[in-house]
Amino acid sequence: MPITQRVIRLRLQKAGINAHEKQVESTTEIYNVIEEKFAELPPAQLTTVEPAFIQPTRKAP
Amino acid sequence: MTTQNLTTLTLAQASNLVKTKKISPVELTQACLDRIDAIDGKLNSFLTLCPNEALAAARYAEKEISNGRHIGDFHGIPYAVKDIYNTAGIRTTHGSKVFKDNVPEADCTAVTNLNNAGGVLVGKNHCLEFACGNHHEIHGEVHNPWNLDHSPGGSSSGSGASVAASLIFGSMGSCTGGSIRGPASNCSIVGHKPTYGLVSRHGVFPLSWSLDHAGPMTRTVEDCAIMLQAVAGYDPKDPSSVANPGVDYRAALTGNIRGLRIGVPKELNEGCDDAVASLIKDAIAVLLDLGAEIKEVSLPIAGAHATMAGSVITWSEEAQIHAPWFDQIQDYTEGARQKVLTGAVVTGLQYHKAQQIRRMVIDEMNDVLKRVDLLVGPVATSAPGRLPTGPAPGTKAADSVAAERSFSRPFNMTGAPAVSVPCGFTPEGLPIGLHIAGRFLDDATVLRAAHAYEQATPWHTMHPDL
Repeated sequence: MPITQRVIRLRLQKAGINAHEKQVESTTEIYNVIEEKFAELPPAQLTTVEPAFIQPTRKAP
Repeated sequence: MTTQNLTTLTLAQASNLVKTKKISPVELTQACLDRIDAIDGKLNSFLTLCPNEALAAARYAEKEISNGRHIGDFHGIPYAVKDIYNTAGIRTTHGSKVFKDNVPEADCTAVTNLNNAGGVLVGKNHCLEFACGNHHEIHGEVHNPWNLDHSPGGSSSGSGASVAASLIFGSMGSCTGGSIRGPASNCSIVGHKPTYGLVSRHGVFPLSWSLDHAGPMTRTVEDCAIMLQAVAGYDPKDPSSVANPGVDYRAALTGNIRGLRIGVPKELNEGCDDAVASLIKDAIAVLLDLGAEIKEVSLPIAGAHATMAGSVITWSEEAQIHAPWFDQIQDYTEGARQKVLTGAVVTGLQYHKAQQIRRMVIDEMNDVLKRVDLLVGPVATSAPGRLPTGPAPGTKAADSVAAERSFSRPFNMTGAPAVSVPCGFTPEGLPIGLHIAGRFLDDATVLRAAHAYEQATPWHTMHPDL
């Protein structure tokens, strides 16, 4: 189910960002694009995949 | 030599002339400053110049060299850096309004290394705001020297334009998803995204800690190797820094790629317009003529998912980086602001999923790179677009996000080295770059192949008519 502008507005406010209504609208639309794209790889397909995160610190030789 | 003759020398040629005392660093630096003064009004590739500091550094280099203390190939070479590199006492705006009067107290490690190698910092190159947005209106657009109505690419736009226009011998760019290779391709120069951590990011304003790379942009591969040698090295101030592998990058440019196995990933070659596809096909034929083995390979995860996963990682990390300036978000350009806003609402679940996809891209790439030594393709699907850049009127930002496909971002996800080398021009005269990527820490093989290709083709000898 797509996220609503109301939820996005609240999240932005919670983060301390005062966004204009157009900005809330575009952010909501992009959020829903991310959700749609990520739905192509459902969690069940990723159960054995450990995230990469930042690459580890390496020591000088 | 005239000013233009001096600045159109390659960095390597200038280096040899400085070493043999046939020209002085002061002459070279003054020639760059004169050419910037004459040409940059058309390009807007510099935000700040530091002529007094540059000439003082050049005079010092001249004195050292005349006293027999030539310290290496970068000694006495004028260079620039993207304006997200901190420079002590020299304005560093990050291309933004928020930092328009920012003057750092200390140099970033890359500038320290280049200065310690004898380089002469001439100025700060314009860039997309915070290396991700648009060109801020207070700083203006940057223009492509091959066609002033077209974009030089971003985010290292000023670096690409100034090097292509022979205003400077080399510039340091930064790359989170393609911001070195994109402008290099658009401006017909060489742009190398080194292995993650090979060049210190300390003191370079971050966009995404886990995806940011710093790297050289020059007119030739040999120049790139010289600049990389001067700037690379372990830095305890950068937690991602890798131990210097002790490679002589210039010496690695043997011209011989016979027997190298070069993979053409079909997913990172799809969807190009005809002009780009034709130039890449011709470039692969040159590599074959040079003795490389060409094989088609497949990177389905990278092709389908790396762009979005990379965006989610970037925006999420970017939002945290920009949290101290959330109260000034309306002073950001639309492009940068939208990325920060999206990053601020991305969930932990989405961020971790993006990092899982990153793991899959790394594993897939490592598997393919057991069977081939390098990967090649285009940097972008089309030639540089017309100015102003950004979504067409009436297009929603979400549509652009959904449609985006990046051939360069997978290599930011893996941290592997990748270069763009000029591979010709469209019928409209716009440049295209060949993308060559390799294994983690094997920058030398990437540059060797790029150099062999470059030397077999005429593109690096061409200069824009300004």
